[in-house]
Amino acid sequence: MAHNRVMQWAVLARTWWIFDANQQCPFRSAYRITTYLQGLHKPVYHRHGDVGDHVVVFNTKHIAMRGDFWRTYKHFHHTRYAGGFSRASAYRVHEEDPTRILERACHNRLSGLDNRRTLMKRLHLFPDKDIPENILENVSGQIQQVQVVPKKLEDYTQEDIDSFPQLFKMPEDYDIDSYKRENRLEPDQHTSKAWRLK
Amino acid sequence: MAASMASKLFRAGARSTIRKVSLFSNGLLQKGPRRNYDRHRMRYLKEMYQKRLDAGPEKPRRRSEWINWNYDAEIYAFGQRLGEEFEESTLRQAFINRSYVEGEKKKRAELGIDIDAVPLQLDDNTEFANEGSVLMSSYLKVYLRNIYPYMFEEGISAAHDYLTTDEMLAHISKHIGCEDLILSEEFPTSSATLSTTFKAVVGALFSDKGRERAEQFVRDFVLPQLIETDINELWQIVNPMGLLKAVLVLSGKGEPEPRLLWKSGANTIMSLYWVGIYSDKDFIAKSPGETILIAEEMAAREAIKKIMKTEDSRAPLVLGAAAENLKLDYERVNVSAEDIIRKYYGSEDPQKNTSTSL
Amino acid sequence: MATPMKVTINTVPRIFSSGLISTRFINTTSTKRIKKIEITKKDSATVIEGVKLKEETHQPVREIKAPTGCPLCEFQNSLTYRDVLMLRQFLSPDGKILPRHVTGVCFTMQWKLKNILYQSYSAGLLPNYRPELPVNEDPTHYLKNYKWRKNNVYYEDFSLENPL
Repeated sequence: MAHNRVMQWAVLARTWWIFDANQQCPFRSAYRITTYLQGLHKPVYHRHGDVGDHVVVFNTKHIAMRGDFWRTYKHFHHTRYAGGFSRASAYRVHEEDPTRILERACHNRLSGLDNRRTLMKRLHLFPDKDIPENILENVSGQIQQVQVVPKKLEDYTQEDIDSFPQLFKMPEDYDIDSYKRENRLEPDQHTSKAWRLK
Repeated sequence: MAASMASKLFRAGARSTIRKVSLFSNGLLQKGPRRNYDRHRMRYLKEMYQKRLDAGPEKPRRRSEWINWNYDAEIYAFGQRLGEEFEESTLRQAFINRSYVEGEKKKRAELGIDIDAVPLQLDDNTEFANEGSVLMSSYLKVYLRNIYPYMFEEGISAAHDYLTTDEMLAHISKHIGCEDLILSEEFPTSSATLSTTFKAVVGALFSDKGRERAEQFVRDFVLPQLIETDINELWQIVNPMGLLKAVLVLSGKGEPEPRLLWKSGANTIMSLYWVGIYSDKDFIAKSPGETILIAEEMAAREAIKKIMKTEDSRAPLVLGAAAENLKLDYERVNVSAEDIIRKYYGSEDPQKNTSTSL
Repeated sequence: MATPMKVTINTVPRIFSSGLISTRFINTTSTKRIKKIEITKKDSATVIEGVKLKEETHQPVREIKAPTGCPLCEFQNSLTYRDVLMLRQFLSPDGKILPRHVTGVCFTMQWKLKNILYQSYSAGLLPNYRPELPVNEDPTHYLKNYKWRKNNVYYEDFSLENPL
């Protein structure tokens, strides 16, 4: 009956958020996602209170890593037996499980918290656009992406390209083929496999 | 000389033993390690504890049974404490309960004193209580009607009933110190007696200082009980959507239209829905709820609160120094919800009664 | 000279192109007010001619406000690898950076442009300019050997869009 009761329910009910991981850095995304998992975005947040929300992340297959990180960023593991150390590059981990890198990033972000397992259970990761219907029905808000999704030149229409202003004027008598690379149709002795095997 | 020496020695010895007992018997203040083991201490303490349990709780006793009780001084202090100047005789009468008068008569009869020959100069507080009760209840209603001019009459009566229950008045009476002063046969004092005494105090003030002063007394001690209570909670509306519909239609607006504004976690146990109520595409109120039905009902209650202008953001009650220059309209009567419902549902076709909810 | 040859040149091009004419022609830069050398052979004469290409579009040309005359100096702090519509203007049809005397870019921005173009290409925003393989060449399995290349990549930049 009481209005206070439903207001309290509204404050403490868990909201479901959705996050599109397409072309997003997993570590920066984890920074933002764990904010919502812990409930840090709420004015009623307290570290001993349990006010975190659910986060549904999709397109984790299409995350972007910075520079050379796909090759150089490693995941380590030790079985605690002698010689049990192993490591794997990010791209190898990503091949095995496309949700693994984002999950580990969030997990590491929550390190030192007693309720880390509880919070991680409220993180729902999906490699692509296919989200189960019963989960999608719960969602009521979207988390802003951390980075701009870049657009490829192929994705622009010819109209877009034409209407974009020219930055400079080319000289009248410039030959466009002057720097053209030679297209070697003859087999090359340095690159040809046949030559190397000979 | 010798005697005085002996007495001094004795006193010193007694003091030293007392000190010894008080400081070292519990073993807490002992500086060094204890070198003995007192085998009897635990047995002794257990015995004392059991005796305390066997004796049971302390019997409640009147304050007047203690030796330092001075009724005259307490009666004087009562008025001074509250900042009111009572006449002593009226105040004394206000604390005399009917049972006390009857008890006194009985005692005299037992002693064989003829009451007609030596009349008992005691009047009980029934008359004061009746006067005080009428004044208090009329002032409470007038005050609430003027503070909440758009609230329905039923809500005003509910708040009035909440303030004038025996429990509430007994609570006030106990905390301004009437309990010790009451002259009554029964003990411990019941809440009915306490509340009657409080009403009698108001009545006594009315007869001493007039209406205005008595009303101020009511404002200062009864109305503050509404602080931190939600006045909308006191009136239980059975069918809020039906009432809202009647009010809106009679005031020339469209029928209320509930709309789902927001929902989250629909498939979970902690689902949340926000329902808003619109009339003629104008937003009126919104409210959350764990199901759509609850949210809709709460939104209707919110809408009624907005119509009554008693929403959560309402101004606080005008009390204390701010209420000194309050101009109250004593003739005012608020709109009754029952009239509205009768007007809307009673007159025309009875089908309207069924279509009150979604 | 064994055979008599007649050379007719209307306007002298700055640099002569090689004799081979590519059959594949990806037109990623606009062909505007530029010329192309055409060589025609008649029975006893070879005519080398700089033919003016037809103006395809009427793109508006932006006014350069920088005192250096450099078209990119105004975007020193804001140019990122994501601005492919700007970057493509500094590329020749086969994906090379146009020289400074053509574009008018200052030395510093040319150096930055080089890096940004590398980032843009690595992130897969620009088309693939790889040349055709020679005949009989066994194609190397690029993605097989460089498996991390197929994943998305981003680069750090300090533009306002990405304030991190």
